[in-house]
Amino acid sequence: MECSEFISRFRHRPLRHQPRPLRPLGLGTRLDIRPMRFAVGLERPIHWERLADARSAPSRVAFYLGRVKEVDEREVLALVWEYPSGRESLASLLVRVDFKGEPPVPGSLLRIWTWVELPGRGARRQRRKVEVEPLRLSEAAQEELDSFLASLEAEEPERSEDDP
Amino acid sequence: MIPDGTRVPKPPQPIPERILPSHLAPQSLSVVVFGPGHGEAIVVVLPDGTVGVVDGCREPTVLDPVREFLEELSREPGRQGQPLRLGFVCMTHPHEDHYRGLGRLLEAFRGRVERVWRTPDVGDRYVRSWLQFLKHTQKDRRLTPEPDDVEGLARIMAEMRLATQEHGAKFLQLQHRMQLMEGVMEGHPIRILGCGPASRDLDTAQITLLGVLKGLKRGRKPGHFDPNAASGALLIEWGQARVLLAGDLLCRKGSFQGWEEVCDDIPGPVQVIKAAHHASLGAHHDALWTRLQPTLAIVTPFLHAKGRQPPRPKQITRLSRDSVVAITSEPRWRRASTHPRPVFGTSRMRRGADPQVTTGGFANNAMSQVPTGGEADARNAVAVSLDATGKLLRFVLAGRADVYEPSAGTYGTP
Repeated sequence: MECSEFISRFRHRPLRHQPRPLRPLGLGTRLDIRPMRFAVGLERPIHWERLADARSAPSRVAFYLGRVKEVDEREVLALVWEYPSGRESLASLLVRVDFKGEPPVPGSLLRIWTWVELPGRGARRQRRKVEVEPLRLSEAAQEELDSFLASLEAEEPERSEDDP
Repeated sequence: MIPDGTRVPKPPQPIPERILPSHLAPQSLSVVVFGPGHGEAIVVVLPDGTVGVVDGCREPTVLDPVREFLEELSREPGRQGQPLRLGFVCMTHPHEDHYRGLGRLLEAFRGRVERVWRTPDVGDRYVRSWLQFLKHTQKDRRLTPEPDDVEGLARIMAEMRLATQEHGAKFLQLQHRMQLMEGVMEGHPIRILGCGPASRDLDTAQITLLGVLKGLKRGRKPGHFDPNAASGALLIEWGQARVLLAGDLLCRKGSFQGWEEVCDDIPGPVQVIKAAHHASLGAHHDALWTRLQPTLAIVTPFLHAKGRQPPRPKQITRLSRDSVVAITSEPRWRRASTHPRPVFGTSRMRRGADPQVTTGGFANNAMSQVPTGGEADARNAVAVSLDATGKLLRFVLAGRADVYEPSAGTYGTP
């Protein structure tokens, strides 16, 4: 199997740092993990049946909640939290592929399923499915924005000390 | 491998885990670019020992490499144990991969900052509008925790206001043609010049941002606003030595003029350039690059250059035709024989080398993602020192920083 083949391969890795960085022994790989900020997936079922459109056996399945941070013409940058650990990471998604050409509003909630398909002959396909819950501002937030925009019109711009 | 014939000195080996003040040449113009794989923070040490900080890429959790370096610097013999003062603190633009760590740094150096440089109208209209946008799109959401970047930016604004109003720091606008600092150091004239943003771009940014806020208020899909379009850039000149810290300034895009508006005012040659916007294609001004003839280009990857994030291999290949290209963190490109290769390290991204590394510890690799926070790459940095003739005296890589060369082997094989 392809999997056992690469695990058994001997790792030739020359020493890069000397002296070795102070790292705890016994942990082969140290990951950047921010302490859990919240538990993902408590508010409603994860709906693993969303993977029903997998074309072959889904494996290594993962689920994330996400929040859209930035959107440009081609890409969406989102802060995502892994189920169930709440581990946080930044992810980039594609407008064309993940959102079918309709970029989401910043602040929208994302539900993301990712998995690997093994169609055979050693091939591995990384797949993902994204659901968007659009951002909706409350009335209070709209009013706050209103008053902010009105206040800007009445203000003088800030000047630096050397400004003529 | 960096050949003997180039004007870039060979970095010390083995590669140190972090940059120390002893790595910098004394009485030189030195720049330390920290790039943990997401954004950048830059420490500038001027020939008379004045220290400045440009941007701050990460909200420090456990380890803040910039603070750590500054503390080491304050213990240098020449400083007589006096608390270190910052000659200047500069925020090039209000984008979280550039400002996150600045608030905590300003807090730590409260009362010890002499100059504050930031984009005009930052404290007033432009960044307050951006803060409103962040607040309404990122905060107070159900199901997910509140991100810390909104508080982070608010903290910077408060600390900058405190520095200028309470502690006598001088506030100057970071803007095209703005002379930020000048003097004579070690017998040579020194000046720091704002090379961006153009005032026209700032006006455009404010108008665009207001349009976005109005769209948000009306519940319509808000237009796109990119804070990089009005990013600041700095040129540091000492004698014949020049260093360009290009922020995230982009080329002409839509109504924004970017480099087109400012490039004619940047004198060449420039020996060291911190490449704009993580060396993305949209930030590379080819005519300017050709005219400036940089000896060394320093690149800080965005999101570890995963997926389509910059720098892309093609662009690094392009830059390394004319310059030695140092990248602060290892780009996590998919493996390809045509990609530029690290000179000093072995790629950890070889398939099968370490499944935990290739997937970043996540269940699969279906999404281009990198964990936030953490320490593993925090100390990744590139440091360089120049003398007044523009000669590169020292060039030091730390952590996973490396020099990348085209696969064709422009500089020979390691």
